[in-house]
Amino acid sequence: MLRIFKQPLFLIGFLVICGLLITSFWYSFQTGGHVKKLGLLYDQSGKLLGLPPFTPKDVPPFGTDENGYPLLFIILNGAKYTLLFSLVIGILRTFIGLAVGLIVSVTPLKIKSTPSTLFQAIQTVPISLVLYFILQPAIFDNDKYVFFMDVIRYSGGYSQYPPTTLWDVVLFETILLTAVSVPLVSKMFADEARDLLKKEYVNVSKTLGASKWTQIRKHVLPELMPKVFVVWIQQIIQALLIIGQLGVLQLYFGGTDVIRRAMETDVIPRTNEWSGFIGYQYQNFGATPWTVLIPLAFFFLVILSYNLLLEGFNRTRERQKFSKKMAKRKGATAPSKAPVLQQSDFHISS
Amino acid sequence: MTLGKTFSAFIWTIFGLVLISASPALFHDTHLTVYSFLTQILQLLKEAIQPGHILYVNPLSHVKRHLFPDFFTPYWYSLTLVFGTYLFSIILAIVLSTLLIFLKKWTIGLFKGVLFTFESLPDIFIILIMQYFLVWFYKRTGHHLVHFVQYGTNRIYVLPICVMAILPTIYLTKIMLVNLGNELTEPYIDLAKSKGLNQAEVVNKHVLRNTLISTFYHSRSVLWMLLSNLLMVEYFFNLNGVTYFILYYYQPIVLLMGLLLMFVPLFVAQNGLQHLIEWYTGRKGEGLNVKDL
Repeated sequence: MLRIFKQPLFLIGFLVICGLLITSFWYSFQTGGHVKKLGLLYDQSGKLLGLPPFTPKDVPPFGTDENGYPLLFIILNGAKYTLLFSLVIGILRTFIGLAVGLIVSVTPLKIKSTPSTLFQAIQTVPISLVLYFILQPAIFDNDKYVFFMDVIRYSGGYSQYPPTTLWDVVLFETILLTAVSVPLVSKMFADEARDLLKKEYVNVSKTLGASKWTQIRKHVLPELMPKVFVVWIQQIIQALLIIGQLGVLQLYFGGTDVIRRAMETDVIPRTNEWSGFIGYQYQNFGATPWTVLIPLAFFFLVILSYNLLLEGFNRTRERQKFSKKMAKRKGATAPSKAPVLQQSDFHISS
Repeated sequence: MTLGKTFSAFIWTIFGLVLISASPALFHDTHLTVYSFLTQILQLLKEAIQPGHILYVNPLSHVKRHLFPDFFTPYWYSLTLVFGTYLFSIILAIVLSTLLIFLKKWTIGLFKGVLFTFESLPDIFIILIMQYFLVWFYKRTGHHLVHFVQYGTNRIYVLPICVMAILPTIYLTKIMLVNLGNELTEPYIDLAKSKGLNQAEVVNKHVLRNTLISTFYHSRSVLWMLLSNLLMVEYFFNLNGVTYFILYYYQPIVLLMGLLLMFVPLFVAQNGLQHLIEWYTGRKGEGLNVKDL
């Protein structure tokens, strides 16, 4: 298991993601989530240099947004939400999919064929479009939620409905984002498990009296484990992409503040979570392109690291398989190296 | 897959699409509302039976219009984009991989690394970088490279197709490279070479033709990949396509019609391709799989 950390690709991916997470937590711990806002900037003689937003050239390394907050702070502060959320969704998708897939793989054929084709429909639609219509009312048309803090502050009369809190919406999104990919993941695991259940050694154990559960536990699960890891990482990447798309459509999972004014509606992300920040900043893409492109570059970096992790994992597995095969071949050929017949075995009869 | 099975999958998927289009009614805020979900399904089925009577509402002016003649304009546009991208990426992948296979081994490795990096690009990033680059280029030189946003009724094709084609092309090129590499180790290659054919002839006449089938077989899944890219491309480039239409004039029935009308041609293309390949080669799908990707 530890050998995998010697694979450089895996190590790079692992270090980048862990590094980002740890830095993010450390940074928000240090600053307490607050950082000095940059206002007007003067040089030593008191000449005005500029006002926010500052470009990456003015305020290295990444510049500031239009409120004067340094982008580095925003990105580091937001990393933990995005990374942890995608991690959790990846875990949920994989393990619920695995459980459902294993159950499906042992049920009789007639029952499962119908619902599986029904649920496959989800592959044929742009999923973020459908998610948008489900999530949008929960986030937008819900002023109880939006002004929840105000309700507490002024202790107004919203008593007939329990207000939807931030956690309700986050939980809701998590469930939805998990549910949309369970059909696909479970089908894959079910196919895989069914193939394994057909293997000879499983058949042997069946004739020896192993129950379905024993077959799954002893024979299928150990074989599936590497696949589970691969699927987990793939699902994290998928989740990141969907979160990004939803963020662009102005659904920020880290909490959305909808401020209704007389003429217009402002949608503001509550945390500095990446996708929300990108979606929010896209409105000013023409004026401050770096506030969109730099967080997106971090998105790219994270996805790249996950892919590196996956590639490193696959390579290690291949090498292991290869060395096992070689060992087997050596073991098989070793005894035959000694010549079976010696010259002394032959007698020349006269 | 037999034709009967394909047909039953088709019917079931359509029913699944009805469920998906009704699913926004399943939740009120974050609460489950099963009853309104069921009534929504019935409502959708009732409306879908008479497509000529479906009305859509303009959210700003509240003017009601018939969906059907109006819907076809964005629909054909989106279909053109999807199938155009599909064909373009297949052609590009074939050209790229056949050129790459002639290179030295370490150059191929380098290109594989580049492909690997580009594969991790989120689609939003590609779109925005492209937009930014074009604006920057225009500011610098005063030349429009291509039209990069739709205004009025003029339609743009080049840029959206190029942007959407990037990820599928990488995917297909990777598959082609694996296939070509496997095919080149076959014994008949050595035979052909020993008879005096050069590498280019062997690749062109034998290897490419043998691997094309497998590539086409794998390219089917690209079609669904394109559909989710379409949403982002239409959103950012302000294109009047299907997903934009659904997003702007949202109603459950509009969503259902949009999903359905996009699904049917893609499904026909995908399964038609599969049956054609199986009929042409006499091999079933499993024999064509690329194992190690």
